[in-house]
Amino acid sequence: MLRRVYEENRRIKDGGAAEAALRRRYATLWAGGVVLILLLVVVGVQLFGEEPGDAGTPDFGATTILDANLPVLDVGPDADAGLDPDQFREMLKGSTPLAALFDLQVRTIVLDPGHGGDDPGAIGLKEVWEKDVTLDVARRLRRRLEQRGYTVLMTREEDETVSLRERVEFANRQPTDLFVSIHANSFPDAPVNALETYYFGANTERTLLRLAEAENQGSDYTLADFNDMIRRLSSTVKLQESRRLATAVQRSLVSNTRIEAPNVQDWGVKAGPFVVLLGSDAPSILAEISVLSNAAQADRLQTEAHREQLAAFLEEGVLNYLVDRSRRQ
Amino acid sequence: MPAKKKTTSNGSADRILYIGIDLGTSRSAIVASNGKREWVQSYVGWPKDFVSKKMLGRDVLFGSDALENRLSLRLTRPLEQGVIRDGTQQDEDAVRALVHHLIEQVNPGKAAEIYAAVGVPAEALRVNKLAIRNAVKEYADSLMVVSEPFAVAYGLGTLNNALIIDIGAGTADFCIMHGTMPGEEDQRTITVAGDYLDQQLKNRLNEKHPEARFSETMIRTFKEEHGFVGSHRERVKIKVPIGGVSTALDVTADVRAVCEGLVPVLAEATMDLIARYEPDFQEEVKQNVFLAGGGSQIKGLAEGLTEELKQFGSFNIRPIDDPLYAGAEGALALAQDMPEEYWEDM
Ligand SMILES: Nc1ncnc2c1ncn2[C@@H]1O[C@H](COP(=O)(O)OP(=O)(O)OP(=O)(O)O)[C@@H](O)[C@H]1O
Ligand SMILES: [Mg+2]
Ligand SMILES: [Zn+2]
Repeated sequence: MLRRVYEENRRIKDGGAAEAALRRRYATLWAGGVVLILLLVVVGVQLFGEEPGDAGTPDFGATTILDANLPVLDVGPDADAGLDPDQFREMLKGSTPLAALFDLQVRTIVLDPGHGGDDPGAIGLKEVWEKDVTLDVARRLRRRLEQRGYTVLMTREEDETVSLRERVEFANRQPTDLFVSIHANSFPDAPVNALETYYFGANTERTLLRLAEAENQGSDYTLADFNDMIRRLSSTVKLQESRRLATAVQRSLVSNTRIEAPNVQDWGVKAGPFVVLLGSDAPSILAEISVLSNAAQADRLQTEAHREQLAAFLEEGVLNYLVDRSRRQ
Repeated sequence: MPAKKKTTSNGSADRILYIGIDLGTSRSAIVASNGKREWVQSYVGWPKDFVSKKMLGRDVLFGSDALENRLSLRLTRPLEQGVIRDGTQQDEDAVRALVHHLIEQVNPGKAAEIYAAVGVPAEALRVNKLAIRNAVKEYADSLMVVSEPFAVAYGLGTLNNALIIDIGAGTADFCIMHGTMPGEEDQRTITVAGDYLDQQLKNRLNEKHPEARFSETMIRTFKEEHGFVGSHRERVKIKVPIGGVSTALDVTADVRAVCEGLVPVLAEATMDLIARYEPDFQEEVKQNVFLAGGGSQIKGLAEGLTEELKQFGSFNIRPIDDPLYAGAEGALALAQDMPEEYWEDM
């Protein structure tokens, strides 16, 4: 066993030089934006702090953006920006164009409604089909994010067949800053209701591979391509940021869903080898936003109000991530 | 198995100082073969400007010292969420400074050669092994990095058919031991841990008592002093300022509800990992479940988890002794057991 420890460390020691160089490059880039962002935050509070701030964003009770999971407000470098937490909270409630305030690096968000056209995805109870849910929620999310000032692009606009490869290439062609793939789960054999969010990462767990197989159907990549892509996944920054984004989205989905479905299980954030998450160097996640095989969820999904809620949950997660990210710098 | 410590009959033992370090999100600890041990909250702060520097009289501050002076500092918790955040220079510098500070605490002296084994959150090891190696290697002549739950298991000597659940601040790390060094598939990390409980408790209390002001530190302290699962004899009363007047609030139900929220999440991950384990040995693993990390001190947690898992059979779940130093002690044991020729090569 000690030998394994030794070998593992040996490998890290030898294999790391390239990774280190890459990370240094990112670090410089990121540091560059910091001063500007801090300035903008201060100016922003002055400009928008007074806004009445209700442009039709529904309030889903307990978990507002801030209550949910913003980082500690009263400790640390946050104090630098001179932000008053209450003011900040107010600011987030409305549909303030956050893109202008926070995180200059994120302008373009690509939404990927899962499946479509010939590929229905999962077929749930009560004729609720995955491809319809994902598209509808994505459209609603797009509207919300556009109101915040982001440019939102979609890998499909209609009920059309788009291969995974095309989705990846789409994200590659665009100046993608965040990539969010929207899916819904189905467990026909179990009455379970659960939420989970994936970020791209090599993971050998078998069940995961099986799921990845289902979600990866329609990719015309060969196994060799796939392995190669995994090997190229050396960007630590993408991995870390993807995990953060996944965590924020998962938290928002779970805490908000719990309000009306207290038994929903939190399956957490996981690394998964989904081809579609390879699209770009941007943080990329795949969220399973509901369970179509669960009778109660299928009922709720049939209402527009609930699909709008799901879009709001996703929006909250994304914004939490962005705000957290800008504050970390 | 973690063997007996090296004796001085080994010729090099006098000039080599072995150290075990546990780098945590919230607390970091060090134990050395010279018998010294120390811990510090994982905060690192640099004076914001010239004035602060002059006032503080130091170039860098650590732990509670840094927290207390946070208004004059650029403060960071470099391993937030179990990884070196962002891989930015500042966080790497912070880890480096923290390691340096820890090593100084055990007085290595001039002549000693330092062999260090460092346990880090499983997720950090997965994501940026190299950054961690880089941050530590300046201060150690030779260095091994291992995952934190593995270090704990090594220290306990539970290397086969056992499950370690390390409930820290940012993450809870699960690790199944099966007689070899654990791989990816033997480990699981969830982000429901101490910080998450703090956040839940804060949300709850803010909602119930909008007139009161709760700081993060207050909340964490309530949880650490009073956190419990299951039935409990005393009420939990806390004092908070409301409109400038110190007022007692009964928060028994809230503390309990929040802490109990942890149980099903732990149970789920536990079953998930055990179910993947070779069926012949699953029963044995169930009899060897250890709770480690600060969160393992929540009263009644082991019992609550045992109860929750009853439907899957009988479990023997125990909190480990000395959760504060278990990781560092395990890393030290590993350092001392590691053959000299491996060390020379690192
Ligand atoms: N007596 C206690 N009861 C409940 N929780 C406690 C107690 N003591 C400490 N904790 C909590 O344990 C957490 C810290 O645990 P620990 O020191 O193991 O974390 P860490 O190793 O720094 O974190 P991580 O493993 O995530 O890197 C904090 O959330 C703290 O509030
Ligand atoms: Mg720990
Ligand atoms: Zn799908």
